[in-house]
Amino acid sequence: MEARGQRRARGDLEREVLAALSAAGAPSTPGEVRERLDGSAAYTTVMTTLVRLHEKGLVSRERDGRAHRYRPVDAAEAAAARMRRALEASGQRDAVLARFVGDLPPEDVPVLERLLRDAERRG
Amino acid sequence: MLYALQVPVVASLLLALAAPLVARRCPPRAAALVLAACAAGCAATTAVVLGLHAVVLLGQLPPVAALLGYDPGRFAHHVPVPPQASLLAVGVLGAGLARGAVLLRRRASALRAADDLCSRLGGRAGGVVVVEGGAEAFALPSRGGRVVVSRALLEALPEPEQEALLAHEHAHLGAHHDLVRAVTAWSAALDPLLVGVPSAVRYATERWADEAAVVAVGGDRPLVARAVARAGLVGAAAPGDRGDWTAVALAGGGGDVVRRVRALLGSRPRGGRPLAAAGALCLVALLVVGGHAVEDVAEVVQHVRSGGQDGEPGLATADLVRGAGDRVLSELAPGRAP
Repeated sequence: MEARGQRRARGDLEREVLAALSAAGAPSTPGEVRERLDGSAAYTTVMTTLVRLHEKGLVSRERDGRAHRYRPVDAAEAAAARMRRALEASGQRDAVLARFVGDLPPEDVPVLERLLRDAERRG
Repeated sequence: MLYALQVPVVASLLLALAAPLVARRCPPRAAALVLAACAAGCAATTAVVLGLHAVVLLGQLPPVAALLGYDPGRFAHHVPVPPQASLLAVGVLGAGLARGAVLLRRRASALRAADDLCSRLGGRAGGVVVVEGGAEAFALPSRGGRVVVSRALLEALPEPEQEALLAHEHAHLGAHHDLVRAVTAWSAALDPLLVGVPSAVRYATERWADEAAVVAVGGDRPLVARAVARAGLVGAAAPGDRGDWTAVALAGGGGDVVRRVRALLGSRPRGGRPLAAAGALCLVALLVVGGHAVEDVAEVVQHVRSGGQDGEPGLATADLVRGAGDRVLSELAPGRAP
């Protein structure tokens, strides 16, 4: 029960931090983000959240002296990154989606080229 | 009842052995559907038979016996399996259900991510969305379905082959191949003996979509063959430049590409009837075995509850169900005469 409550709060915090970053309009330090969040969260909490978001690929950062400045990643990029992670987690065995063609082992390349020429002759 | 598990086990093993051959040699639509259906049948029968062991174990517990009004000792005496076997069976079932639950969660999160991506990419339901980066093409089943294609791949194909590619992906959406593959994956999670069946079904659905594309482009098999071959070579030529889709765990092994092109350059597959008949037979056998096991346990329960008297003629299961139904009805409407 407690764990679920904590997880929900973390998700909320991540959303709030992302919203604050978007609202800022320019790359922000953790301190600036914390101020936007009306100071209710501790500085370390905000910083940990930003690091986590960065690991998830939802924010990018650049060095500014001794601190980092964070900015939200483009929405489509973020969505693609999220999907990539979720699909990586699902693994090859139970993959949700099927590609048109899979990875080709190098030894199959000449075989495929020959078959393509074959097909072009028949076309 | 102890022997009831033999049939699903043997069926699962035979299915695992036969699946790659069936996927390769038989007409793809029949292969995909029959393999998926038989896998589901094996998993369901295995689950039912293992579940009966749970029923049998529970029935020997004094509180349950007190509630239902029979002597737990007599029940234990008439049960044809030792409790250790039942415990093992329940453990195996539990492990299978846990695997299935993990699979469900992973797929749910993957589908949510795909759904999110779908809404961000925009486009209309059933439409095509072109993305920068990568050399991929796949069908997103969420939100009415969309086909996602990398610009690089699309531009590498001449227009007729582009049509073939899109027809292939639309076939995946129209025939709900994601559901067929999901059912197979869950069956393999419940019944781990079904090794290799999910990947066989995956290959069969790819071939199925290939054949559907052939029909869509007017029967030109070499055209679709060229589309598949060229797409494979495009992907192989630029391995480093896949963008966001590089590490995406999408299905479709490499060895399949050559096999698919060869199959497309061959003749049209025909005649799925023998396979369908074999599949139906397998399912009937599994149903009979499952039903038999249920009836065995129902007979024991009825025998014990009736105090050792011989049961009435007819199915014990039917009697028990009828009796339970009567009891429920009398609870709900006490005034009515049964």
